[in-house]
Amino acid sequence: MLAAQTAGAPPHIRLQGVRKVMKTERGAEIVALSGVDLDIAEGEFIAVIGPSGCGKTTLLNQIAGLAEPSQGRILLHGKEVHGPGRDRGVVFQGDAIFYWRTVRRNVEYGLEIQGMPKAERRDHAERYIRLVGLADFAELYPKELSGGMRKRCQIATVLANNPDVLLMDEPFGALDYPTKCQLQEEVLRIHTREPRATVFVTHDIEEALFLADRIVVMERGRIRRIVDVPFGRPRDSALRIEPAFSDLKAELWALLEGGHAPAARGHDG
Amino acid sequence: MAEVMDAAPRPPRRTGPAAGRDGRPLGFAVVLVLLAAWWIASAYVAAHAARPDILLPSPLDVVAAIPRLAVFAGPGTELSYANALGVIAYHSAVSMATLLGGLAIGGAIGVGLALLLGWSRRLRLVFEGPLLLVRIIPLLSLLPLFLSWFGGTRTGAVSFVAFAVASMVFVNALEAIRNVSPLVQTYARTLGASAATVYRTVVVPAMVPELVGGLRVVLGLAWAILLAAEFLAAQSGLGRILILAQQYLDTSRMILIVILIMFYTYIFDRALALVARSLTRWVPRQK
Ligand SMILES: Nc1ncnc2c1ncn2[C@@H]1O[C@H](COP(=O)(O)OP(=O)(O)OP(=O)(O)O)[C@@H](O)[C@H]1O
Ligand SMILES: [Mg+2]
Repeated sequence: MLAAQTAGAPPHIRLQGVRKVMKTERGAEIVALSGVDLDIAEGEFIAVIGPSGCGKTTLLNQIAGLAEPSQGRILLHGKEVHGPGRDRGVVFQGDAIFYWRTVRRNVEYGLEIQGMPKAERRDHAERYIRLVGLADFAELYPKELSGGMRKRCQIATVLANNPDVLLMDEPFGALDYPTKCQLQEEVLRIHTREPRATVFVTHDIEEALFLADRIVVMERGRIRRIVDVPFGRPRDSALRIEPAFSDLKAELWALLEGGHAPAARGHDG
Repeated sequence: MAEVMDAAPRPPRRTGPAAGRDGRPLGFAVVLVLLAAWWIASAYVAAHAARPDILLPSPLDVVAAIPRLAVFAGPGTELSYANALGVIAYHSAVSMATLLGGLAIGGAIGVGLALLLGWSRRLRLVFEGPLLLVRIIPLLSLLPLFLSWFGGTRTGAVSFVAFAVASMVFVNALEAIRNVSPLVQTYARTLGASAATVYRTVVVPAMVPELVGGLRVVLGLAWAILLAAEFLAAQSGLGRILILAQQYLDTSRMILIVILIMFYTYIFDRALALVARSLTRWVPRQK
């Protein structure tokens, strides 16, 4: 598999001139994405930040194959993407969960439809249920969980399915700070152990810095800037209080704040 | 403050079905009041009307009428409680078999059609209009038609109930399919499910609660449909003996049969509610 990482190989994911126009119920057109070019390498962790409505979810849906681009193409290992597939796991912004299944059977879903034998998929699911800290809640129905626990169930379900690419849409938005930090570290651990191309949408600059190799800053359907995150891996929570971390955080803040009037603001304030 | 914080967690306050139990004595009291009102009204009627037994018999008259049900076993039958019980058992069994047959056949056809149409856009385009047209035909207006097709046979009664149930269940089931969360279906797709697998593993289980909810309404209506069919056409069944009692001007017996039907309807509804509860344990409810 690593052999694909030779110099001439295509990037894992390539977005070429992606434009997405959406129609509202009243027939108006909204340009949700335009001129988006992005290459994502094998095992690379990309965070996407930007103000609400700038097209982050739309971008994720394009890669997931849930909607065809209006223009441009999306390539996965050099092959154009059409439709969703289990190679690209999606953690949705909304409450995506199988309400009629317990946590355990939710996590087993992807394995079950693949035809994995019962005992094997039980063991496999159990690992991921533990990983997200739901071991004591495995036999509960989603209605008996909190919002954050339902989100963790979704994450476990997607990870248990072992996707090639991980697409996450504000997965920790609904969580309290300590749980969030704990899950961020969990995501890092998983990423170190099984690195896979990840696109992680968030509103949280610190989260983006802590997790990502590169941060894509979006604004009104366009990529405004791509910021390299220089910190090496493995990372741990000590990173959060390093001066370099704070500096980069301030820089990104300024970038986001000045989003609508980029020329008017300096970085020295 | 400290005391409050140290206090052991209290048992959660009862909500939902358990809280309803507190209202039960009240419901029972209301039934008693209604019974008393009936009694008083019948006493008033007895004092002022020429034939109180036709207009409004008292609760006691109704109880006393039980042996007279034995008449329906045929001329010359002894009017005893035992024979009356036999009559009740026989006609109840006939009616229930018809009802259950009609529900099973009609339910299967209704759900089956809805699943087919929910699956295929093309089928939906072709058949949804005509099927909805069938739905808006007043059901009872079709009864004479079924009479000419089947005569006064049981097959006719079963077919009529099945037709009515199918048309109601179809609309309900199709709506239930439409209401299945698109997000959850998309989620299943991204986990690797094919369209057919999504239908089987997401749409079908997710539609169950709405379907079962609709079924409770259908069940109540199915009794009415059954009685209508038996009034007109049947040789036996509760609807048949109800109409016979009316022809004898025996109001007490009519009330007896109506109470019996109410009892059955109640039992059916409770049974379905029980099944529904076990099928819909997972449904999020607003607290
Ligand atoms: N189904 C839709 N039909 C029409 N327009 C849509 C639809 N979904 C999104 N849009 C539009 O596309 C644009 C981008 O939406 P998107 O959901 O990608 O934003 P986002 O960056 O994910 O925002 P948030 O941070 O609030 O989740 C918005 O202007 C929105 O109005
Ligand atoms: Mg979004």
